[in-house]
Amino acid sequence: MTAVATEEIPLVDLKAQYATIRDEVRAAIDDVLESMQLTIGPNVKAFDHEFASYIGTKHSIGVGSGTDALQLAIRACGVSSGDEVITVSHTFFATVEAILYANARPILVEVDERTMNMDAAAVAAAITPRTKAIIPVHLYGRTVDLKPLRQIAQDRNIMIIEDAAQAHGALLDDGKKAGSGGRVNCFSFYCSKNLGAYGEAGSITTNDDRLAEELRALREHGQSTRYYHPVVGYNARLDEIQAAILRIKLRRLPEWNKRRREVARAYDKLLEDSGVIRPEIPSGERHVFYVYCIRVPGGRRDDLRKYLGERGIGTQIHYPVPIHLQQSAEFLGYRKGDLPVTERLATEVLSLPMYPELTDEQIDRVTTSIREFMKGN
Amino acid sequence: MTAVATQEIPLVDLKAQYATIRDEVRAAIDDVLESMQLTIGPNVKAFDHECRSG
Repeated sequence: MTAVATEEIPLVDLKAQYATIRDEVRAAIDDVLESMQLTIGPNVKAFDHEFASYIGTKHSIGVGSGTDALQLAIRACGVSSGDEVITVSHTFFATVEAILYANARPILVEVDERTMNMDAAAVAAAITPRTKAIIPVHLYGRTVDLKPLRQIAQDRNIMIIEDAAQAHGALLDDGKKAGSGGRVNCFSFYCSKNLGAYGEAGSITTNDDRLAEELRALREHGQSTRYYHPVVGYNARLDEIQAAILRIKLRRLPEWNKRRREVARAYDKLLEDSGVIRPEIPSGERHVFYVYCIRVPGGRRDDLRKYLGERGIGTQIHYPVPIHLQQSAEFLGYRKGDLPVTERLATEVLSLPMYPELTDEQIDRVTTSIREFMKGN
Repeated sequence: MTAVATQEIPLVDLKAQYATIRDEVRAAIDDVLESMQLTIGPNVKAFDHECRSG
């Protein structure tokens, strides 16, 4: 059989989504430009309110990026030099960067093979008197169980900071939304995210009034009022144009997440017995499939990726090098073999095209190509 | 002398400037949105180059 690839299927198709909201977005950008209120104006205030209400927290503090969110959250929690912060090695680099910005020591722990998320037993084993915070990362859009982490953290004065950068709208084990369960919680609205700006943006959510006030000051150079700086802060403002765009997209997020789950279920059905390991689909809305990540055993991942690429199908590896083996993390003293599950996942994971506008025909083409490859060769 | 202030003179008037470049700005934003190349794409590269060349 000859594959006649007439149309590319990208990993993420932002154009397809933009086509569905173009008029609204253009009008909103025009409004901001006519007003020339460009920083922390009516749209940022309204988005902060609307996003907090969606997540179910008292506060949302819009910031310039997901990395800003992590950096400010860690700082506001009082993490500093000599403290240890536990997170996973199987994640995007920003989580660990933010810990290092605070001069704290990242303690990188193993993930559970089934969920590809933080292993609570590994967290328990990593606790020391210096442990200040635990950062569970809801990787790919699947939420980490917070209950066992809360049991570990309680009575030890250890804070939980959710990294919900990939999990907008996903539910936690208590049925509430990701981003409502930690002392402070972090979101990224990078353009490819389930809720993505057209550029960079992020948010910190919290129920703590005092921390919220501190975070609002920190995002604007530590200002209490203009040009009065009781603390040294950051230039980490969310801008009005991005906030206006996010407000439009937030209204569609539930419907987009629903379609992502449908796409995941279709992949799951069509890839049954294909030889690849499919991601578990938890019941309810625990997973919002920012990424649909399969595992390809037997050292065939890179060949499959090439095969799909030749047929116009975009894929990605999230992530090829675990944090503990990154060159910039050498000084932490980890070695190859320290986190065997994490290291094996890095050689097996492959993310397939995933976006709400993906059609059933496209899903069929992706899964048919995967089956062809796994059967042959 | 009585000052009859009929019109505000702001410290900075971004609207006055925007009025002179509105059409160009809107068209440029439209182009970026249609391309959906949102970070470190052709405009960042071109702007970096134009700054360097003075």
